[in-house]
Amino acid sequence: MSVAPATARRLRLLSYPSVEEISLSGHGYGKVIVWLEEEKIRLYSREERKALRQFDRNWWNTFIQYCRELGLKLDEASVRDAAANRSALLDRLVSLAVQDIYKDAIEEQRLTPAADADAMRQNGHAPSGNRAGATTGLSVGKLVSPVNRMLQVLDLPLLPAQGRVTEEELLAALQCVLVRVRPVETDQTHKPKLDLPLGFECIDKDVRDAAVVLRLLHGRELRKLQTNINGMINKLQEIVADPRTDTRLGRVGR
Amino acid sequence: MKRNFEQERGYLERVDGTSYRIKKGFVPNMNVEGLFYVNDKLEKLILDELRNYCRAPSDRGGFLPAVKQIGNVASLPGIVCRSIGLPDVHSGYGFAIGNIAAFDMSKPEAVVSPGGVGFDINCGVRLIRTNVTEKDLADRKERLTQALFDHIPVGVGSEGIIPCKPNDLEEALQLGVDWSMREGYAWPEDKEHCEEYGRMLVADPTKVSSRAKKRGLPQMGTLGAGNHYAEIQVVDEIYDKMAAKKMGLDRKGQVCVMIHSGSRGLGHQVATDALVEMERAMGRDGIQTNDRQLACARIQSTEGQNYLKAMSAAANYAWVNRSSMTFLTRQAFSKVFGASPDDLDMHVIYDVSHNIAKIEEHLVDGQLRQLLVHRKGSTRAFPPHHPLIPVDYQMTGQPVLIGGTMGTCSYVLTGTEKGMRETFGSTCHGAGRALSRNKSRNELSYETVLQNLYDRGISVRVASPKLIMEEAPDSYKDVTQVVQTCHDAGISQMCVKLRPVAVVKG
Repeated sequence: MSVAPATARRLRLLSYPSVEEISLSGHGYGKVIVWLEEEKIRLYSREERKALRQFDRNWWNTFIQYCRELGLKLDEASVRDAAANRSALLDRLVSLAVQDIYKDAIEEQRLTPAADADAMRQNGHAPSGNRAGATTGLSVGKLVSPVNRMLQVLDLPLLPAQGRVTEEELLAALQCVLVRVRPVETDQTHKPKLDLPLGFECIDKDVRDAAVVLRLLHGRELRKLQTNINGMINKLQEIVADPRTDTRLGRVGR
Repeated sequence: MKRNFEQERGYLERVDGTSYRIKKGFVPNMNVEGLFYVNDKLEKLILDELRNYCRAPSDRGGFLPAVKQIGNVASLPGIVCRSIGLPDVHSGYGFAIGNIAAFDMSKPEAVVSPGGVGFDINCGVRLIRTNVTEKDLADRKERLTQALFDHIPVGVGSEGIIPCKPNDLEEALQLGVDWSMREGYAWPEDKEHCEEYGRMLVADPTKVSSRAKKRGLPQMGTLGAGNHYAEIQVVDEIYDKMAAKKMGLDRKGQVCVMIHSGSRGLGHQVATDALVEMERAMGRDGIQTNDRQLACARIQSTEGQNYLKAMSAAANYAWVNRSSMTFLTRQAFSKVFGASPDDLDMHVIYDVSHNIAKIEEHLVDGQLRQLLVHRKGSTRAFPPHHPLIPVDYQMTGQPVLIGGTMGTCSYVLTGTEKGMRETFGSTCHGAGRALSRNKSRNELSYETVLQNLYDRGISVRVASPKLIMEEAPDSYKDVTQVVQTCHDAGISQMCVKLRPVAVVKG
């Protein structure tokens, strides 16, 4: 199993020397973690890092401890030494490294939020919508056209090209974009339970889940069909139905 | 030579906490074994009945004990797998009430028996939900009960308020709920939520005698007498949230209406006519049974086919009858609450039959076979994903409506895979009688029974109060034990418990 393309891309941007050689097993994995800590994250002192450099049997536990100290929330499933967890944890550490660089740049005033937004605009990306002052100092009018291009691609209602667009309207539009492009939550704990009867034996959990989903989709199709049938009967009833009652006929028995 | 109780008991073997096996030899000529479901509490009733039978002189009249009847059914020609008794089983005409037996359609000797369906063909239960709550009922309960009593005529000899000419009856016998829908008495969704979609396609009104038709003509939209009733109930407890939500019964205190009725005099006459015809056929075809009440005919014989066609027509009549009463119930609610039935969300949750014989496909020894399944005092309970249940219940299994005794609680269950394997997709139908009608009349007083109902805040309207003790809870088994046994045995699952707040009965 190799590193996810998005992780590799960000490692390249962080100037990791040999992205192609990264492996999710053995020392290769440990090396990239140590590099991230030493060059980018810098949580530990030199002394404390020694344990991370010792790629022995205990390394995984040391690494998990390191992740916890970094403040990463880890559930029971994600602390197991498995390829999927290794990939996910590397991705989270890389994200953390990128965030640190960004925060440092802001603190050192090498980058202003406005400049950031501008840079992203030029690259065709939306600035993060949760920073209210992101467009400060920029002409809202200039942003309308690129934002509209994004809205069009995502099939969202466009901002009026002519006329005045307020900063709030622009932000609202960008938030809509953000909702659409934000990756789906992959946290396993939020995975919906598909504990529904299947009607046949299936040992493999994933195949079972897939079969249940197919059952649900089939049910939806059947429901549509039945609704159409009912609709048709309703139309016919409008022509022929004439229910009557005659209370004079009623007789209570004994 | 009659055997004593211990000798008889030797043929009954406990399988597990909820079932007993009836071994071959318990009655003569058993083709298959018997099986009945009971828990520790219900077991006593069944065994006491057998004990009393063993003590009584050989020439005593009346019905055989239920367990003997299950054995006699196991000796009928063409029966497959086993003869099954449910926890509410009690003596009936030929077959016990609460007995299931399936006959292989491919075997020429296989039979159909009117005793396996019962006299009240397609007697069944229908549950209608509303969006009214118990609180909304508070000051309208008496008015609503009276409105129901005014709209739905009850009692022996009652006559309905839906005009029905002979031609209408012929069409109703042929079309079942489709007739009610065409005339505007039923909603399209009612048909969707009806067992068999409210119509037996093999029905042939020409096979129903004119005497039967004459009895049925004025009775359309009437409840009848005996254990039939219309009850206003409220949701008391929810055991299976997902299934309850699918049925639209998701709030405690939600009001619904349960209608328990059948095919009235018409069904009774169809069964009586068939028994006479079949007795003749039995002599001709050399069919011998352990009990004269088990009159039957080969399925493919003229008599067998005539009965199946006439029984199907009577079943259609019962669906029309329940649909007509649904229409009248909707009218009564609409008047009292000043809102349309649509606004009151008065949808039929489901309509089950518990006296019927149907051709179904089941796995027998790993092979798919076409069977004629007799369910007498037993409800079909198909599991999730069965093609014959409505799309809304595909994920939950078929709703099974269990009417309690007057004034006690009722239940909604759902069908299970295990039930499909063990009981031809069937489960119990109600409480099941514990005392005979005569014994109830002699031992209980109607004043006490009525007072008990009033004390518990249940509004009551009855046509004949002096017969009410026949239907008193003391005359029946404990419905909760019955339902719990089926749940523990895995042949159905408890979903919702309903508590009555008003009773209308004959």
